[in-house]
Amino acid sequence: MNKNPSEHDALSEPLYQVVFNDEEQYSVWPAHREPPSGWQRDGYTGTKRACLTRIAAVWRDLRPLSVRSTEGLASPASSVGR
Amino acid sequence: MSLMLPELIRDSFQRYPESPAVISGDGVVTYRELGVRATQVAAALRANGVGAESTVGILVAPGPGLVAAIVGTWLAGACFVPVDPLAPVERQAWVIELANTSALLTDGQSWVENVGAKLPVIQIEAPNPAPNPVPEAATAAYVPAGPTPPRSAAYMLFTSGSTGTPKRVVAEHAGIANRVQWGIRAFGMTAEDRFLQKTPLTFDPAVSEIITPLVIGAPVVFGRPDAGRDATALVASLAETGATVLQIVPSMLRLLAVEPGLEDCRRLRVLVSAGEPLHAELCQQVRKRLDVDIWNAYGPTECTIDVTAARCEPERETGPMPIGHPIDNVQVRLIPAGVEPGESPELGTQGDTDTLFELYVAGAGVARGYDMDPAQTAERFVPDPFGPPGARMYRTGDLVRQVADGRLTFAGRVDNQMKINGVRIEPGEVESVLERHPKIVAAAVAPIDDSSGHRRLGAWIVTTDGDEPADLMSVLRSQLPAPFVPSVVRTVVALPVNTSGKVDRSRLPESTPTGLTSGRPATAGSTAVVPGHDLDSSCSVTTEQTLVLAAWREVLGIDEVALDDDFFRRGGSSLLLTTLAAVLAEASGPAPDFRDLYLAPTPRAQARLLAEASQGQPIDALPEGARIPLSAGQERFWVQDRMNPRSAEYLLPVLVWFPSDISETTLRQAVGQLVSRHEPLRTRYDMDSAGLHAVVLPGTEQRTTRVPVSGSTEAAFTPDFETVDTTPSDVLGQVRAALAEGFDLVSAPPVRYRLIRDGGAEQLLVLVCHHIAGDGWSARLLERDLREFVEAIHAGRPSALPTLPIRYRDAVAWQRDRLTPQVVSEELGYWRRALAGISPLALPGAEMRKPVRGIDGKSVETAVSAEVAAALLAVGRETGASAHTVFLTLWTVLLARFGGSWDFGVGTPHVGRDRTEMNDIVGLFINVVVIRARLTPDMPFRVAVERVEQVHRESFARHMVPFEQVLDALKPERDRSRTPVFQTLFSLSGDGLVGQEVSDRDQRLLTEGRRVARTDVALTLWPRAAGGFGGFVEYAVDVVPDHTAFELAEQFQLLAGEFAVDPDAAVGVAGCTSPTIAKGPR
Repeated sequence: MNKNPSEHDALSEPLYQVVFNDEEQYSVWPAHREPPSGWQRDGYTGTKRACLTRIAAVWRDLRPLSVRSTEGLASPASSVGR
Repeated sequence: MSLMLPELIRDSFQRYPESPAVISGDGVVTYRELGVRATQVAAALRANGVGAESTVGILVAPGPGLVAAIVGTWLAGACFVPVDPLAPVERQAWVIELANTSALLTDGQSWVENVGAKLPVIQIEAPNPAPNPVPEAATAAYVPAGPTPPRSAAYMLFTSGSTGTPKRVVAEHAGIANRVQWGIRAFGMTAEDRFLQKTPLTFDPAVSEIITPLVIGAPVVFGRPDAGRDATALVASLAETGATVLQIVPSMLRLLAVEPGLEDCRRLRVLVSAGEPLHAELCQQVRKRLDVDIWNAYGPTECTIDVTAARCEPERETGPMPIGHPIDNVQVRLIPAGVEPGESPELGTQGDTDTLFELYVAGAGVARGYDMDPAQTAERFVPDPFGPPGARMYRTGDLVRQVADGRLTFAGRVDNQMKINGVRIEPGEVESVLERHPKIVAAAVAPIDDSSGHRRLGAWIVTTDGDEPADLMSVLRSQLPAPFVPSVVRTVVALPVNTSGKVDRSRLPESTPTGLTSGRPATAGSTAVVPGHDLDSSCSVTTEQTLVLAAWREVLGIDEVALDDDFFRRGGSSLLLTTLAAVLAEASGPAPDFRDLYLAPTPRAQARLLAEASQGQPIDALPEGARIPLSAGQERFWVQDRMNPRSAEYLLPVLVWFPSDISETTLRQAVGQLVSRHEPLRTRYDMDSAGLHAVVLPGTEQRTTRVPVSGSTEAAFTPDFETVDTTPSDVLGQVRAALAEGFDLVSAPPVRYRLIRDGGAEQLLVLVCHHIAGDGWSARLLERDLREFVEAIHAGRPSALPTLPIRYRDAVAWQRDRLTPQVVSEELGYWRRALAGISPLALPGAEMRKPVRGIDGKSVETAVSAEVAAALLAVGRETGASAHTVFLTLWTVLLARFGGSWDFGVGTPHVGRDRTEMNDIVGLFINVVVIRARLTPDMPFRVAVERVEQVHRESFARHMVPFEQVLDALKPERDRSRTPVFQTLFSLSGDGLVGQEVSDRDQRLLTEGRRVARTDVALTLWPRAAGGFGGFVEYAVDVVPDHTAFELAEQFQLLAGEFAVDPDAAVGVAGCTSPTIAKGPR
């Protein structure tokens, strides 16, 4: 009989891991590969879609860390990338 | 790290205080003045709590105020978001809402009222002349907040996403500073340069146009408001500003390349093309007119304007230009297409010219990401394993290849790739071939799925003249693999573009499959009507569409018509279009203009016209007693008759056979009714102090007609009717006699009737009129109406003919009104271009031409058999060419081979009855249109037909201006030895559209009886009832020897046979065996 399509997709799709760099910028990387230098694992592994969903949940401020920390007068409510 | 742009601009305020900083239609603003105003803007923003990483909306028209707003925002440490001043208010509000702006800078009032309450709105005024020295108070409120952090946000731009909400790209200062500095270095820019500002700020090239000059102490120069969209305004702007550097998208460059006045923009030295693929052909075209360095740059907004660039080598002649090497501090990563980042341990190596790569960009230009969209940012901005630790690279989705020296060439979009019949097709590759065609201005391809789920490749093209180039399919087939050749081609007025001017494939009008490359009409599906899916209409078919579809089925004799079918591809011709107009008029009342129908060849477009025409104006009746004007054609015949009084040159014979038992009285009575019905049969022409005019005499049956003739001083008029009783052998002699003499146009209506009785079962009524009274169409009407009158009288019933809606004089007045100066100027402009430098027809024996052309002519019969005709017409149908075009091509080829010269014009009649009200009235409407096809001997016959069809359509679309006016405009050298402009005529008559249907018997009488040549040599054809075509070659005896004419007639038949068998044979070398043709020059 027919396979459940989502089941099938989940089984055959490549797996990724969530990674982030020193500026706390997030991305994804193939799960079975070591992240490139300067990138660390966040610990989450799944399909690309699932990893991006996870990122949407954890990456709340898109400003690079260096800009966040030097920020002086900014009014946080309207900062770019948040 | 080098300095960021806000610091550099502030430096410029100090270094160049009195230099012009902004030059626009509002005048010149100095750096000092700009500095004051920008600082005030920064202070006002600060006062409203705006600082680093805040976003500020800028809704300001191009000009000094816009520059002050941008610089002021940066001085405040904030990030600007352009809001298009031309967008609807709702869209503007939405942009401001999405961008979550802290404040809005605007020069408009409406925003204060609309959203004033929601966020601080700061009015931007253009910088004023500032006092010198600047009072400290003016700028005291602003305190610089230290150097701009390189990673801080500089601007946010909305880019069109493929789905729904646009993405908002946030670019950082390090990236834009790097791009500006690269441009200054690469193009060698100094304070003397003028970098034209013409791009709307909503697109990132505008940032470099505005900021670059401010870094080097040059002024920002604003072009005219529409210089970004309109080539005329662009050229004017370039000239006015003395611009030296211009950024441009190729689709605009194409327009610029043909824009008058470009060669006068001599200060322009650098032209940077970006945004779309650039081809060497276009560079060549531009460089022919202007000595300029052309650069091809590439880069997505996500990488801050430009990523790679190449100076285009002037020697390169054809093909796509490489996008070059990465700009300073930018790196490209080539990862084989289809491979995920991280899965490819190695990058593409230089010299690998075979692999298709997806392009990733790393380095200075990589933007921060998408505002408020972490998932999309994480997906497109990925770890760069080849760069410094923690670096990211942007996945462009663009495909590239390498050329041998490592430069990159653009090869399309990953997400545009499509599979058709299992073949992976990159639209960019097909589009680039399409766009290299000289007549194609722009092209886009996309898949089209028909109702059965079958997927085809569709192409949408914009052409220089609105028609599909006749040779398009053959060109495509020669340059692309078969699966890459679009099977559906639609000509559109413009391609849908997004606001940056790039083609938006997702918005291409959907097309139902038509005009397949096989040349066969689309017959898929069981429903007759396949509505399209235009956004502007529901899927239901409108009343007008139903009418049009039904009319097509009737006129074309086909069962299935789709709303986007092309009339000419479905077997229509320009002549059949006239019938279509008539049928449509019958069904719907008012008739669309013939020319409009011509230019709108699909049912959908025609239905729209029909809806419009229902509001059209009827043709007014000329008031009684008004002077009756002559049509332009009538004036020409008048003048020619004055020059050659009573000439027999322009006579129109109509032969009608009746059974012998019809009495002469009946026939005379019928003729009387005919004369009453059609005014031109009782019109004479006169010249008085007020000029030339027509005098319409009362008919013998005047009492029964609608129009009273009170006050007429003209005596009732009796037609010139004679009966001749003779023998069968003398019938021809009598026909000849009836055609031997012309008329005095002044004294009486130029029509005579001869009833010839030879004692047989039938009698022949010959009606001969001067062409001033009627044309070939009239001949058919005269025969039809005469027969009906005779039958009605014979049967003792009233005639069943419809009342005429208008009179000939009304039609003439309407035509004269319609020839507005604009119409005349457009059409004459076309004819001047089309006929410039045309040479006379070369014919063997023409050297012996007499100084003044004689009109004595003879005719010789010719014919095309049914089988040959069917094969030739099938060739025509493949390209939408009608029988008229096919035989016109054959005739043109024959004459070219005979005379050895391939560039000459062929005159051909245009019926000129643009309104259906004109369809039943006798009168001169016909115009002559010249077809200058410029065939070449190497063209296959099939291609020659395409070419002639194309020229035919272009020419027929300009039929309104009378040929005599074309002559006046062309001012050909006065040469009385030949007819001006063209020395050969071609007409296809008797097909129920033009002229009388001719039996073989009548044909013989006409060819034998006719002793006039209208020009050197003419071919007239008509379809025979039994199939195939009959015809005659009419020739001037002074110019064409009998044997040549016989040979022409014979070779016409032979040539028709040759091309029927092998339509791919070259027209100049097909294996004809005739001694004359064989020895003709090639």
